[in-house]
This record gives sequence, C-alpha cells and structure tokens, in this order.
Amino acid sequence: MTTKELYAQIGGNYEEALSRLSMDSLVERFIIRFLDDESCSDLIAVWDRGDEDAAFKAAHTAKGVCANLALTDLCSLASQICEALRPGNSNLRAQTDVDALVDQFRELYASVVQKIRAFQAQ
Amino acid sequence: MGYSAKSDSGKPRRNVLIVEDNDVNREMLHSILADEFNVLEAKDGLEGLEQLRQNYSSLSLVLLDVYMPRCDGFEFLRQKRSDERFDSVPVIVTTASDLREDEIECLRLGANDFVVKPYNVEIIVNRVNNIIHLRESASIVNQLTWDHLTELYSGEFFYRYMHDFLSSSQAGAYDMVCSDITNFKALSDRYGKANCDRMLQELAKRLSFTLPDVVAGGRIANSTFAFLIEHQDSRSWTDALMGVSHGLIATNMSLKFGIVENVNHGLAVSLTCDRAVTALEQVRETFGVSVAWYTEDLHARQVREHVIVETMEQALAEKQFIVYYQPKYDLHTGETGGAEALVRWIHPELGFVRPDFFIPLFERNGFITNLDFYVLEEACKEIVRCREQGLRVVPISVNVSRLDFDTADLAQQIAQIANRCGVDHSLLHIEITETAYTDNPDLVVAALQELRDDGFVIELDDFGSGYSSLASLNMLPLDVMKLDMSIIRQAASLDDYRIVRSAIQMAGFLDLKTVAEGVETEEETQRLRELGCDMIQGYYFAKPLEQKQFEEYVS
Repeated sequence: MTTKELYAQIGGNYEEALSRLSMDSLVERFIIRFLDDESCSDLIAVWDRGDEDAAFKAAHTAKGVCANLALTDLCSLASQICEALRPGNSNLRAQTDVDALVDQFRELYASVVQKIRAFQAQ
Repeated sequence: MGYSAKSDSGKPRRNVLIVEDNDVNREMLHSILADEFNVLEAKDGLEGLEQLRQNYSSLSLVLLDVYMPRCDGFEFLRQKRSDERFDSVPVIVTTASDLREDEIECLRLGANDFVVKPYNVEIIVNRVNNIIHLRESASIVNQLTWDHLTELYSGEFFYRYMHDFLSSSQAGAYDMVCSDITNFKALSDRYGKANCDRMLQELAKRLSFTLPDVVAGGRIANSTFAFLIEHQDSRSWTDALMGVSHGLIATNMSLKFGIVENVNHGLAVSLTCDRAVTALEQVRETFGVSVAWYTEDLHARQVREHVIVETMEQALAEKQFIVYYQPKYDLHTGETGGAEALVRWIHPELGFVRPDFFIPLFERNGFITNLDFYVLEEACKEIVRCREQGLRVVPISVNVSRLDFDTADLAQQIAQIANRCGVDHSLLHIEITETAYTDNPDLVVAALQELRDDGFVIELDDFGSGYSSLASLNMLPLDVMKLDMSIIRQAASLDDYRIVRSAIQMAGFLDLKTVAEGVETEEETQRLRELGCDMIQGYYFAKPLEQKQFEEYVS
C-alpha cells in the first residue's frame, strides 16, 4: 500500500499533506508519527472525564494536528467539537450533541490508528 | 540535517526557535523550515524562555504556539516583553485561525504576525523571511541613522543624506557649519562622561534652535557637530552663537565654529566638513566661543600641506632636506664657538619651503621626530668631516622637538647615533624649547637628565619668547640659555637692554651660559659683550651656511 492509498482509506488529503511536507517519505514519516501523538486520545479522555474547558483546548489541539497532517475527516469532527465547546458559544453548545460527535470521533480515530498500524506493518 | 552557517542562496542562515508542545506540529514546522534556517526547538513556554535567554542575541525569530501546558504563548509573550534585551527578536504566533480574541491578545502582547494551522509552507517561509528582513533592516537603519545621544543624524548617515540632498538640489545655496568643543577631553576628565554627554545633548538642541534655516545636523565625531544651513548673505547671524554655550557645564568651555559658505555640491560632504573643521582649527587656541570661515587662502594652504604630507617621507629618503650651519661667535675668545644645525627644504615642486610652514605641520603629524633624527645624524657626520679634514671642530647644536620626547629611550637613541658616528657627546648640543617642558614635565626632565649625565649639553631655545616661566628654568637640567631674537630686537629698537641684562644675570646665577640670537649689528654685539653675554648668533656674525661654506668658514 502506498501512502497515498493509506490517505484515501483514512479520509485524508494526500496532496495537501505532500504539498506541506514536499516529500512522500516525510508524509509517511509524519503519518506514522501520528500514532504516538496524544492529542486525539487526550480529547476523548478529557471529554469522558467531563472537563469541558479542557476538552475545548484538547479539541483545538487535535484539530490543529489533524489539519497539519491533512486528516480531513478527523479534523472536521475535531473542529465541530471545538466550536461547540468554545467559551461563549452557548447557543451552539445547546444545539450540538457533543457526546455523539465525540463518539464519532472515537470510532474514526480508532479506525485511522488501526489502518496506519497495518500500513506500518507491511 | 547539517547545521551550517549559510543557506543555499549564500545568505547567512538565521536561527529560528519553535516553541510548540505538540511533537507532530513542532517536528513538522521543523521540517518545513530546516531547508532555510537553523531550527531550535522548545517544548513549552518555559523551555522557550530559557532558550530565548541563552540565544537572544543570535536568534532571528520565534514561532510560538498559543496553547501549551506549564507556560502558554500569552505568558511567554508577557515574560519576553518584560526584558528589553529580547525586543530585537520578533515572534510569529502559530494558531488555528478560529480564535480572534487570542490573536488580538497576542498582538497586544507584542506578537508580530500569525501563521495559521494547517501550515502552508510558502506562507510560513515567506512570512518568516519577511519579518526577519524587516526587523534586521529596521535595526540597521535605526543604528546607522541616528546618534542616540544627541538625536542628530549619525556622521555616516549625515554624509550620505546630505550628499543625496545636495545632488538633488543643485540650485540651492547652502553653508556648512561645524562646531567642536576643543577642550572636550579636559572637560570630560574633569566633569565625567555622564555630565559631558548631557552637555553634548543640550548643545545639540541649542544649536538646532540657534542656527538659521537648518537643513539637517549630524554628529560627525565625538564632540563635533555638522549642520547644513541655507546660505546666509550676512555673517551677522553668527553673533547669536556667542551665547550658545552659556551655562553649559563650565564657563571655560572652548566652543569653536568653522563655516564653509556656498558649499560645493559636487564635493564629498565629508570633505566639506573637513574644510569647516580646518577653518575651525584656525581659532582652536583662542578663548571662549569663536567663529572662522574657510577662505581661499586656507584652501591653498591646505593643498600645500597635502602635498607636503604626501611627499615628506620621499623627501627625507632623497635628502631634499638640506642641513645648514649657523656659526656662533664666542664673545670671550673672538672665535667661532659653535654652530646651530638648521634644516632647509628645497621641494621639487614647491621650491623653497619655509621651516615655519613645514615644522608645525610635522609637529602635528609626528614626522618631526624622523626629521630631527636625520638632522642629528647629519650634524654628527659634519663634525666627523671637519675632524677628518683637520678643520676646527666646534660643537653643533640640534633642535629636539617636544614631540621627540614621546619616543621611548630618546636619550639612548641620540647617544647611539653619536656613538655610531664616533662623535664625542660634548660636541652635540641639544636645543629644546620651553613648550617641551609644559607638555610633559616629568618625562622631559628625566630624558634631559639622562642626556646630560651622558655628556650632552642642553640648551634652552627661544628664552623670552612666548610664555617663559621661571619654573621651567628651575626644573630643567640646562647648560645654556639662548635669548630669543625678539627680546634682542626689542632691546635694540628701544635702546633699552634692561630685560636682556636681567636675563643674562639670572642665567649667571643659574650657572648657565648665554647665547643671544638674532644679533645684526656691531652696536648690539658691543652691548651684549658689555652685559656679559657669552656668545652671539646672527647675521652680523654669520648667516646659516651650507656644508661646504661652513667648512671653509671654520678652516
């Protein structure tokens, strides 16, 4: 499997990642690096703990990392969570089922991790 | 990734610090920047501050994340702002684009720009480069443009700016006014640097107000200011300068102005300023505030001086300096009792150059010492020539400038020359002037004592001219007092020899022999003999003679 094919499987934009890092080998290196990155698992952990302030910051961080890696789908979920939890956005917070978003995020993240692991193992 | 001093484009590589807690983001930024920059990393604000403290002088930029544990981006900016050493390091905040309040807060805290996540390589690299360039050129302009003490332009900038100004305003007529505090060193020793700095500040301010129609002013040397003003038809405006130093630090401040009128637009501005300073030099020794203008005469003189300085070393090598010997007549024996070596210069372009023109010039540039040693050696050779031809051998006196005393081991060097030529020390008389003593008494007394102990004879030249002081007579180890021709001339014209008599008597009390200079008539000779003078020198007896003539004279 190529890095490009992996990106297609995990809902990412390979071209965008390549434009940022300029070499396929670097894209590969950083997507594997993502396995060690704790921002996504942090977001899930603090949400489960019920700390909304910390969850906002964690979502913000996760959004940044996913955006940089061009993990478009994960980034989009992290962004929605982040906006709903943004201090002062009480209307949006009221209209949004953050639990559901986090669950989607949890599921997608697990699948992304598993596919990267498989890619790494090949 | 090699750490190298230069990037591929040949520019020196700048150091950039990334402060970011997220490993992926940080490493990614690092990869993006590593082609062009040396990258330092910090994992949070505290580490970032530590890196800043260690490297601020070599750091060109910080890329700062906002949300970090321990010390976040805001705290980093606050701490950075509290230490002005860090002002020169710009900060770009890396943030997600969705936090307008955070952006404003960062700007308020001194951030210079933003880049948003996800990173766009082109945007980041260009933004980093632009900010570094802006900061560096601003700091260079800032450093080079202003003299921070006086808030005038710096010398370099003043020259460049005025050059551009004059080139683009051919029609206008301008005057250059340079000021200098000529006793600045003394004031600085006495009142201290801080007080003198304040005085320069105040003076710059006053001049900016007092001078008419100022175009611009610069500080072109430590205590020297230059102002370009619109040309003034009347010189009466300079009356206002007389009060400009009033109440500044000391009543004895010696503030001088030199003015070049109708500045030549094609001449380098630094040269125009040199000319103004040359004019100023003419009144340097006067008291208080004085103004002098650069004139045609001064210009011609400057050109001549320039030629002389350019050619003096060659002249010495080519023996253009001719030593003449003026015999001294011994009033007791009626014979030639000695001679003074005098130097003449026949310049291939300028012709005969007066000693009173080139000697002060050589005294200013230090060349006098080379010339004095040359004359000393020539005099030694002359003594040897006379001896070898079986002529009468008389002592020859040579002039030693006050500047020669700056030469370490002066006495030993003189002795070496005499010894090398095989000349008995008693045959060499060293003539010094009182100014030597006033400059650096201890040094001069020590050197003369050494010479005297070594058998040389010391003569005090020009006694009675200028400010003769009894202290110098008391302190200097002397053998001979030479009465200046001015007091002989005065005595002769007034037919009143009381001063001459007193001087000769005083010399007698001090066990000094006396030589009267500038004796022109039989009557003067007679009077001096009656007064007990030992020797006379002057046209009545003999004028300065060329080597051959001198040898014939003593044969």
